Amino acid sequence: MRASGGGEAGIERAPGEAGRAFGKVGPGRATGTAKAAEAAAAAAAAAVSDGAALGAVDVREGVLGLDPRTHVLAVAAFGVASVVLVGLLETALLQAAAALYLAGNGRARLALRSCASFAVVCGLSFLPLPGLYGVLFVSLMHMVPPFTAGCALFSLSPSAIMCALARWRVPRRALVGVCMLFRFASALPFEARSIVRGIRMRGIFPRALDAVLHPALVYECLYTPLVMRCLRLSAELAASAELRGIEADGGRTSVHHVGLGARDALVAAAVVAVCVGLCAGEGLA
Amino acid sequence: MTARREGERVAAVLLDRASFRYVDESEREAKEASAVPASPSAPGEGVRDVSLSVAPGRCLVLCGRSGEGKSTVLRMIDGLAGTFFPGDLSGVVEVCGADVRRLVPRERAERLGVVMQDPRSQFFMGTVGDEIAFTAENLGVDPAEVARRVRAAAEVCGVEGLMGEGLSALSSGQKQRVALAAAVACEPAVLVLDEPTSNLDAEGSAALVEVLARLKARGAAVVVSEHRLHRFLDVADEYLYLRSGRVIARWSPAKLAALPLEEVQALGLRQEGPFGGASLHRGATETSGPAPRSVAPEEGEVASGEAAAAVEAGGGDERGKGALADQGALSSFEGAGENHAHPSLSSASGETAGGAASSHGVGRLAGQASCPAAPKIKEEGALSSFGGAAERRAGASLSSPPDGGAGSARVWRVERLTYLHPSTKRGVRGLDAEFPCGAVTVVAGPNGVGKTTLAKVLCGAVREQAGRVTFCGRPVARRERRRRGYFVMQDADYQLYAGSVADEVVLGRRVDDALKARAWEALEAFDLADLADRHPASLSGGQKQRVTLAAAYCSDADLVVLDEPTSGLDGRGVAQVAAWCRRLARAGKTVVVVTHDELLARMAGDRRIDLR
Amino acid sequence: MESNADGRAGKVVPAGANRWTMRDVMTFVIFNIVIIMVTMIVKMAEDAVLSPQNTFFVGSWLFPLVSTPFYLVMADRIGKRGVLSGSILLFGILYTFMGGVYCAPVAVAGAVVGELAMWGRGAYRSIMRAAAGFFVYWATFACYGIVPYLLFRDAYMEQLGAYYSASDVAAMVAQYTELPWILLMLALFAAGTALGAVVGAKFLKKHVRKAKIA
Repeated sequence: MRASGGGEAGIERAPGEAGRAFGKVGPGRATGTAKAAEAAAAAAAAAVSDGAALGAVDVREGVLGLDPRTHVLAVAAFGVASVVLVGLLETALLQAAAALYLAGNGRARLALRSCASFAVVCGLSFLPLPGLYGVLFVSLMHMVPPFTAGCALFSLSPSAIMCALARWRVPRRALVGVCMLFRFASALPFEARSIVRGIRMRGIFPRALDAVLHPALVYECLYTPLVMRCLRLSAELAASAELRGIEADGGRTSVHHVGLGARDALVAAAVVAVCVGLCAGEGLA
Repeated sequence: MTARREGERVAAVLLDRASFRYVDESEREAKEASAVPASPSAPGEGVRDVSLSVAPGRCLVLCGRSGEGKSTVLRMIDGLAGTFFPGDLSGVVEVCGADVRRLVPRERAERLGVVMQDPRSQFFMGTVGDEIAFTAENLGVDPAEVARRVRAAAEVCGVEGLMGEGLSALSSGQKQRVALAAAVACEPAVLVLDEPTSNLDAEGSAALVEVLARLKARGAAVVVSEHRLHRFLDVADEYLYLRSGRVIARWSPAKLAALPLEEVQALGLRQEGPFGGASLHRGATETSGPAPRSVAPEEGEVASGEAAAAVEAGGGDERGKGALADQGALSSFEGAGENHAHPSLSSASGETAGGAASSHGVGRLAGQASCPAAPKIKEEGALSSFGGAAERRAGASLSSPPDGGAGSARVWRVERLTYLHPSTKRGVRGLDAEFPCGAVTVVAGPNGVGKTTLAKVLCGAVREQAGRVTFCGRPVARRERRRRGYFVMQDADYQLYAGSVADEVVLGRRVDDALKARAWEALEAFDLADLADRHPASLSGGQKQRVTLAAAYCSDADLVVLDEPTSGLDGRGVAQVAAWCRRLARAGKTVVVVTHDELLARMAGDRRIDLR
Repeated sequence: MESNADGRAGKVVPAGANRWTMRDVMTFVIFNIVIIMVTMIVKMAEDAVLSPQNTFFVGSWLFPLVSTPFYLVMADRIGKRGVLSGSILLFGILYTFMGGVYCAPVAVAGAVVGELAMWGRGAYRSIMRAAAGFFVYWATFACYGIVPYLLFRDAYMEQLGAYYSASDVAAMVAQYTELPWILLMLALFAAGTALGAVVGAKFLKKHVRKAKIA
């Protein structure tokens, strides 16, 4: 299924997996005119009536389709194992396991990239570089497997994570905080770029040398709009959150899959087994 | 919903003599410390004695100048006034028959859907589908039902093809419709929108209004606060005009459309569409008397009817005067400065007078020529050649450029300019255009057509991929363009750095006497002298923009580019921006205004470039 | 309505002195992300330019210098219990997910110490106390830096054993494992925090408090 989106903007892109949650929407184009919208609605209705859409509510990510809490456990397991393990081979095996875990959760390309980074760091640690570099790279190398597993958690929809945490009785305000973490982490680079662009385009520092000579002014020019913008954003988003019922009593739900099941137990057991096995294997060797 | 009165339709929104006064932190702390109850009639910002009602399936539009209370009324309906925004609320405020203050969050989220002005500060999730589902998920609705509601809402709002898209990749029109879909996902009885079309072009606004019509048909009560009133003529049932926190006038769409031009200007509304256009409603001016019937006099403000009468008397039959009126208006404008343009107008409150005078004068420069489409770019000559020539003469006399003179054509030119964004492959291709010094050139066109890209290339923010930028025939390198250019971003927050307005204007340069004098001149020219010690972030949106323009005036840059300077501004604000652009141009700078706002394009531009 | 009104005439009843509002949560998250990102950017810049030995001398005062002004704004705006401990925990949680499970207990310890240091009303609004509290944040961060060298000791000993003798390696990591060096690092963090507080105080008064943005 490929729905072409972004009619006005002309961007052709296939919707990501998250789009599946809302059922098969036929090849509707999001244009502004009523006729086109009606045509799209008709096409969507036709697709829905095909019966294909109704099942796609409980979206599971990837082959495994796990609850977010399983990811947390996996990260913890990989993390502990990576601290305990010493040998290079065992660490590489751990990384392989973590990559497999990530790939099983639908992020195969990311898993490959993470293995590549592991290989690079590993290679760097063998170079006869002076001083602390070797130590640094070895420590870094040990951090890659849990980070790989962590990617599985971070690539989930915030909606799923919030719902899972709510089941653990995390207070509502903290849930909003978690949601905002994702939101701001992706929005802040954009804001920062706009601020830097604003400084350049106002011509306060005509030459790069001026920027170097006046670091305090540079800092102030970065600080002031950033702080003002952040204060304003937090006020507006807080108002918006209140209006969207974030304070409502009762549980949350999510269209994404949240719920510990047999799959989660199996995978968790497998992950723990691998980690324990590697550590024990090293201990014996 | 319980019936409020027998035999009447139950109002979805009801305000009866409702008042709200903002209380800021320091006042509240002082109150707590002294334990003295606040007097209910203490002065302060807010609204007083507002009464309105909106039945299901009807649409109410709140209008008025910026800062006159429209947002406050919306906050009262939302239930944010008094809680999120500290203050004293009194009177009846009911939504669906229940006091909004007594609603628990769940009920409020179920009954009210809110869309604010800036979509960026309303989104919580990463993808469109998740965003629309957010409210329902908060309320703990069953996932299958959530999915159904999301699909339904997306279809109504025309975004059903975008479900899996990331929110940051959408255009502003799409973002606004996603925000609307998110607000209606739980099928609320009341929909509240705060200036939803301020960032949208004509096409985006039309799409939004269509969606609102559909929602109305489904029975939602819609309350909108807007400046662009003409766009809502088809969908609105009533217009409410607010000033100083009170309801001054109520109009039906027909009555609003029939308002004469002077009244529209005196009220500070945007003169677009049916009002203000030279071709329509000519008859209305002649039949309506000098005192506008529907505007009740307000204490402290001499009846704007007088102002309108004075303008009419002073200007005579404006339409007949044509080019001469331009000349007259311009000279009075130039000679006397903004606030003291017309002696009889100064009897009305100063700001209105200044605004009315300048908008009166500048508005006359509008000429609307329809342009046949050319392949990529289409250029018009000066809209009002007389006015334009007056500008250029004035510009030349005020600042004498070294290699000036009419013959050597001091223009910035772009030749076969190409720049495409690496990710979206959109931008400008093979563009030829010119931007003369001492004049205001408007670059118009719908959103997404490449206007901002052109502006960025001109200012040296990005390097052109093909073609070149020249000044007086000589190519100008990107670094020099960056030095000589001054780009005023749409959101002034990103470009204010100093602790006071005065410091802002001279930022980054060594302050000697010459610079001080120039800075004061800039502050006077832009009417900021009494705001000189205020912190820029505490000013209103229009004032912030004035500060960046004053800084441009004071700087050494000779190419000033403004990106969408009028989003969210009322009629008077647009007129003032147009006036300031002209002031900058008169100081010898090349002013380029990038906008999709037709009103500004008409008012400010000596030349116009349409990108398609 | 839950948040603040008592429902009578819409008069505002102030929430409990330490109850966080939604706005506080948003401010907390966004400013923490700013602090973290600023630190990461400075870290990447210095890693690109300097060797690990020298980043020890630069990063330890540079990170607090650039981030303390932002922290002071957050402390001033929220002013309630939990800002410091929350920030320390947040940074710790992120570090944990990024690959250092050892960070979690360190973070918890740091959070407890930090919140004890900020005991009392109005502690966050006093610039000196807020800055002193922020030093605890950086001391915890120092521990995140130190602990790997202790934890992964066997791993890197084994791997680097081919090139360097054990005593050489020990000398290399002395900066992160021996007490005098650690004390020096903490002193640098303190100096950076103090300087950052001076800058931050100036900006706080000049901008944030003057502009009175909520």
